Amino acid sequence: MRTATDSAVLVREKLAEYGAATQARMREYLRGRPRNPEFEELIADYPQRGGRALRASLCLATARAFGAYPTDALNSAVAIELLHNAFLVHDDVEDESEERRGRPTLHQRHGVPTAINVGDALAILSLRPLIDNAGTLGVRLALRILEEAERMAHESVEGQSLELAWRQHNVVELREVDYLQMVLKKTCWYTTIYPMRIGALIGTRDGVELDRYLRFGFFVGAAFQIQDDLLNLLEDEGRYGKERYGDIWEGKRTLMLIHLLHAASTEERARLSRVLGVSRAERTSEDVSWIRERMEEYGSIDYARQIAHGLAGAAQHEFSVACADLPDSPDKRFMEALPTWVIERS
Amino acid sequence: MDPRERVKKPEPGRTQPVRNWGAVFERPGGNSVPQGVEMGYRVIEEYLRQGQNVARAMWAPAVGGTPSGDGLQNQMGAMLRSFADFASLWLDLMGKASAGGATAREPGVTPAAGTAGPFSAGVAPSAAKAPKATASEPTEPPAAPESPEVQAVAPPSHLTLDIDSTRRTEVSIDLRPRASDRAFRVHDLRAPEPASPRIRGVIIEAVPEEDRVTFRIQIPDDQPPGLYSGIILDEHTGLPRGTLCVRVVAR
Repeated sequence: MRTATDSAVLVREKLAEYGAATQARMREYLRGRPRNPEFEELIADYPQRGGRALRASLCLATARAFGAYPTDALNSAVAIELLHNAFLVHDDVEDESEERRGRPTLHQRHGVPTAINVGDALAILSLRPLIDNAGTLGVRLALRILEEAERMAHESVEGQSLELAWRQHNVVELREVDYLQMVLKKTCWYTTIYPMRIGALIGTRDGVELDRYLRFGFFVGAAFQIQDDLLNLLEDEGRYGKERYGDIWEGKRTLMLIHLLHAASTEERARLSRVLGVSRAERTSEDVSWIRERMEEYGSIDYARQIAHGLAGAAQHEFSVACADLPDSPDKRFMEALPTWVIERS
Repeated sequence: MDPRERVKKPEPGRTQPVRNWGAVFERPGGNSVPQGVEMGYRVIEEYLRQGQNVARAMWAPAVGGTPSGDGLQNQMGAMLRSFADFASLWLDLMGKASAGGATAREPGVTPAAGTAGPFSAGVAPSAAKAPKATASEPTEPPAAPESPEVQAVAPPSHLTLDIDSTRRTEVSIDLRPRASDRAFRVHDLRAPEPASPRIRGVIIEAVPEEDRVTFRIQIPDDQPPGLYSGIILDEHTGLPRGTLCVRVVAR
């Protein structure tokens, strides 16, 4: 029987292996056409800052678990990472974030117009490996992957628009279910559902019903997002790589905040609404500390942690249902261990 | 303890099976774990349900969507769609082939043109869907001059179905956007299985004053369940104008 530690080690090893392979191929694309070295440097900024390569690794592992060669899914994994970095650049602008992977965000360094343009460039660059798939996987399969990519991008921006609208209009009447619906679109589709679907498409040469992975992808992706939000409250900046309490500064509607909005007294709720209704620049560190303390006082953090545990448990169950027919392999074990790793990572 | 006393099982802590499997993941001191599981399932099942509804609506608008019943029903729906698609393609080819020669041999007869689109009962067909024979479309021959008795018109905008059947029956009609006349007839409806009896005597009545066409279909009580189809013909020219598909559902 595998322990949680075994699972964590397995996941870390696979992330390191697949992350390195993805990074190496991604560098080829980032340096492929050095027409404007300064601009190329900006495009390579976020990808070179590293990251866990969770999405790329999940894509590669799923393809291999189905019997594909490691190189079959590498282009698609690179495309996911490039698009992920494009999203990060734009998200940081939209969220007014100050730090990304331990360094100032791109727009903090170079201004919003340049950051938006770099994000666009990364998104466009992410198409190239998908086009190159036609040469390695055939035109039909390459088109199927493009079709999936289009759907994933659509779901992701729709989820992002939901969250932005909540903040823009200072929506406080939110339920946990609203949060999960938003996370399904904003996070799960491009973090877990899409990488698995692409891996399965490549591994089976479009021979499997893809919707069977939706539930697993949703549960593990949602647990991942909640844990990510928790780390923003619990970890120090050096380890986490983002600004501490950045989500509160940005007024993000996290599960903890939604719980607090329901649990707080009428007066506290009014203050919360007022603080969330002003721009980031107008919020004070006292406001942020006050919200963080209320979250602790009302058990919002414990609540979110338990929800994440429940979702991770459901992910384990759904994995056993969706992937029961896959033969045992290190890649299958990696996928199986993800729910545990997601909620135990720091 | 008295050694003669009969050993008994202790009373169980619960009297029913544990059906709330989410509780398996519950951690000491917390009770929100099952809530997270329940909420998660509610969200993903609703998402899947909406996706299935959209897929159904997109796949088979002409037949009101894929039946939501069992697998057999879905397969039948897929068969129906495949047949309708194939029939439309076949009719296109037929139309184009006959348009190339028939026009020259029979002046005054409008050549078959356009594609067989879904019949919209009670809704005027979109002008954009009615293809026009113009010089910019090399695949279509120039439209023949219209004579008083042979006019290129849109399909009727009102459709009446008169179905005499003791069983559930689904009807799909594909009618070409252009028709030379509103006088139609339809071949006997056949099943793919040669042994199945045909559905005979389908009547199509046109009422031009009301811009209406009525299909009268009688399904015998002993008709085997299955998919039956027939070609709708122009009464005057004999050219195919569409297809009629009827699915007779098992009792």
